[in-house]
Amino acid sequence: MNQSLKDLESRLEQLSPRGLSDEGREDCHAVIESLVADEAPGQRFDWSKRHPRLVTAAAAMLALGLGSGAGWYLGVKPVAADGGELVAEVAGPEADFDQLDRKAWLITEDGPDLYVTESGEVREIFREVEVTKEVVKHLESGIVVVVETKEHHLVNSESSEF
Amino acid sequence: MKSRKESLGEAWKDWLDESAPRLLAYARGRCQSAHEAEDLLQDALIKLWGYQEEREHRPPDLPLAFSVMRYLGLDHGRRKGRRDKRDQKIIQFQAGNDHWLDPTLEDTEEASMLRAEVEALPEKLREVLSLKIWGGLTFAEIGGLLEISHNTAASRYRYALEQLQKKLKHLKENEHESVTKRS
Repeated sequence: MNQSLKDLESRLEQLSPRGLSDEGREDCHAVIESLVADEAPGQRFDWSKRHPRLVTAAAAMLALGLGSGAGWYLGVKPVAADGGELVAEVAGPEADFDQLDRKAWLITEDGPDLYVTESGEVREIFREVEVTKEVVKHLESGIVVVVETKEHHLVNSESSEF
Repeated sequence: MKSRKESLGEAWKDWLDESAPRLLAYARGRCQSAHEAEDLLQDALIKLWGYQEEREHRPPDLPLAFSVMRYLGLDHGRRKGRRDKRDQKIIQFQAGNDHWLDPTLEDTEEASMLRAEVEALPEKLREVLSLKIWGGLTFAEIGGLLEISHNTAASRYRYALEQLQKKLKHLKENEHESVTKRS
């Protein structure tokens, strides 16, 4: 590289990038404190100040998304007033959210109970909990929420203990 | 004595104070405003925290942070369909006071010209220049991040400098010409 390009390089190095605004720094520090405290990141901290009109809409969307999900889990599909299924509402909120992170793990709640069937087969029965933790962001508003869901399964399988 | 959580929080805040200007400068190439770039940085913090779980949540290395910012920036840009409007936006940045290189630290006209020309560089060149000059990454790290060879990264960097030099020379000549005409 010739000398004039090197001079240009050092002149560029003197142009400092702009740092965080005071508000931005506060927000980031709040996120860090929240993460360190091992809490859900919760809302983006400045968000309601910056886009107050969207807060309610986002909350409603989120509530609808969770409500629909809960409805499916319980085996009760959300039903419209006329008796039809609310298919559009179930699919809609998902498209408005961006999944930032997802973890899933299984917890075995009780030790297996063994029993013998009439045919002499030894089987075990136990309860398993599937935990899913998702960090999702509402695209329009930017709200970040941690959603933790638990699904309980009753597992009945052939025992390998005998 | 500080608890582990307090020390960790301070370590991340120190890391943020040191790294935020570099990361924001990079993010600004992909966002419409300083505000959006700061939002992107917040999202990156959450991602990075998750990635660092295996490393006892220590603050991340810069290349990883740039990588996450790039991923989030691409995603952000794709969703908004902004790529075809980028040149127009650069003009908008310059028209307003929403610069991503700190104008308060520029006391010469040349520095001001330089800043404007950097912001007007094509994205590929500006990206490499930003990562090298203000990100402090090596060409190998830039290559890894952008999925190009380190030679390509070095070529783009050199080409960016040459472009800037040409433009500055041209601007200075024009300026000199107009001063001569006036006198």
